[in-house]
Amino acid sequence: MKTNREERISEYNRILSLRQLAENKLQHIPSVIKVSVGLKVVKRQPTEELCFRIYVNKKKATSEILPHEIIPLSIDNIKTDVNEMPTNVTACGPSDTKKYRPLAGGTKVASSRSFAEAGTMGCIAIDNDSDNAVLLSNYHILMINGETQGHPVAQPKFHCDKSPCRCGEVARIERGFLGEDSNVDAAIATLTGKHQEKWTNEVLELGVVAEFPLDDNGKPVNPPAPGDTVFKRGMSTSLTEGLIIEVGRDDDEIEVGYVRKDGTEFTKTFKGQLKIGPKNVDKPFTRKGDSGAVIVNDLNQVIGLHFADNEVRDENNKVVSDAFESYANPIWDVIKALDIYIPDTGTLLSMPLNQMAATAETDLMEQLEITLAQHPDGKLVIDAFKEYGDEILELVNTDREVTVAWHRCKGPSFVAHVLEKARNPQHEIPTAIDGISYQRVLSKMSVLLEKKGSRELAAVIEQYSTRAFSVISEIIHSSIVIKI
Amino acid sequence: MYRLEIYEQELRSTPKGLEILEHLITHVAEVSQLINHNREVMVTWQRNKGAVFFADLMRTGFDADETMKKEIEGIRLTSLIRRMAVVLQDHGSPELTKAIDQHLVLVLSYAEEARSLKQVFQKLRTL
Repeated sequence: MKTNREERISEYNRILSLRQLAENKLQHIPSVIKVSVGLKVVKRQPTEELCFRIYVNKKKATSEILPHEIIPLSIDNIKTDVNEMPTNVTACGPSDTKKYRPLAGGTKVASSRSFAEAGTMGCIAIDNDSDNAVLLSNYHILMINGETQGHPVAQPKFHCDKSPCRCGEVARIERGFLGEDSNVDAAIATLTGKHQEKWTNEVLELGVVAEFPLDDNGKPVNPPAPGDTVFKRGMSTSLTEGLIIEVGRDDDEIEVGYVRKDGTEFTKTFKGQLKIGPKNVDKPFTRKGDSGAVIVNDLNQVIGLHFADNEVRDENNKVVSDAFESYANPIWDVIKALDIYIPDTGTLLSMPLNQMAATAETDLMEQLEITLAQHPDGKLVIDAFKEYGDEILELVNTDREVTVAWHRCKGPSFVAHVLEKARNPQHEIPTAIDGISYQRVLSKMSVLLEKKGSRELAAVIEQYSTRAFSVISEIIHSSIVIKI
Repeated sequence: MYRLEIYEQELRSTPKGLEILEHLITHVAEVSQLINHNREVMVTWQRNKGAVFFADLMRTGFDADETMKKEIEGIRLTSLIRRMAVVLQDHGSPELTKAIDQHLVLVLSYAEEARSLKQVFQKLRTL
């Protein structure tokens, strides 16, 4: 049964309050290691049902277990889900290897020594020490091979191995932490040269991201909960959607295995991590190479930094079993350890970099206006935009819900294509971008602007949206040819 | 009970109508399930007078003189369609989302321009 978030959190807290009771009831079973509360996972797919997640070293058939040691199917009418303790959790180290300028999160980065263990740049952050813009990724991506402060970092990689060649450099390592007291696998590198001056805090395919609201003590105001939908964009699996399975407690430990470039192996222990499962069981939430990607909620607020999963590979590095559990450092731990904050920036025309089709130029806008005016209803659209354009832009730029919807619906890409058609009449505007249709952008944005805008804007949308949709539809289907 | 057979017959008589009918048949159960069981969809349907509009539409039938209501208690028919499209796409299956994408602009323009269901079907014949 679908429940809203409040109901789910209330149920989560109720089950959490019964956890000790469940632990007591299971105390006599030696195989039980710990009990946590989270989503029930069936055939590697998280369901919406909250349950007691019971961890054992090895799952056995009922016939192999003494009758009094069988874990009940439910405790106090709450279902149980028996899980093996994670043993194959490894740091995720490489498919989108393209160069992106200006820099954007979700793209490949590498330090000067980490050719093999390249990973993902999460997003841009600001270093509280220097007020400089830094890129955020994992320690095991940027610093695991002995790199120290000042080591160069490239996006996507260093193009040649000839010292002192530094082509591709975008940043220099500042600091990083791996496990121990910090409890994170995170590192930052200060942007260098022109990159320091020109950046937007955007993650490819996700749009602008922002910091998760934290209180004065740096703790989340409204913490994530099992069942929350999350997204990430990494170099390996691009954009994926997941569900939080568990929000680890301070005494929930996981051991993560690391390998250096020289082959040496070691492990680190982390507590209280976010455990995430794929929303679609056919596509893992993460793979090797996605390490360093930021995990965002449905408002594009960064809630975690991905660093490990339970993907299994053979000796030839072929995937034997896709990850069905991915791990992320809670972002508040990362922010505290690195002493950074995640800036909330982005503008209406900060177009997704991989789809940038054109830049907004005044003459193109004017031409678009002239062309629209030729359509019987075109003038309505122009007049409405002239009257309410500033309000719409203000909402798109400052209201988080509108901003996120605009970017998630690929609004900037569609605008870019319309402008490109003004520049080049042969240009075909796609009817959908990344599975999002233009109809969806129109209906979604109209409803959201009605909800968030002034009464006057809502009235105009109500009155003219149908005709505006028809005009835009005709432009996209080329009945109206934009000519310069 | 409404006599839905006559609408079905009419839709079957034109290619575009047939396309719409096929989508209706495919997705009616899902839409109905969402309206009845998904809180957000249910609220949107109720707040925007979905049931009242639907009953009115059925009432008018094919009588060209019976005009369908374009606004009920300050809610426009086109607003109902637009808002329902958004929540159904937010909560429905990918197939339903695609079907809505395919027909939304057309349905909205018919809802705005046509005075009666009869006119809608006449317009479908011209496509």
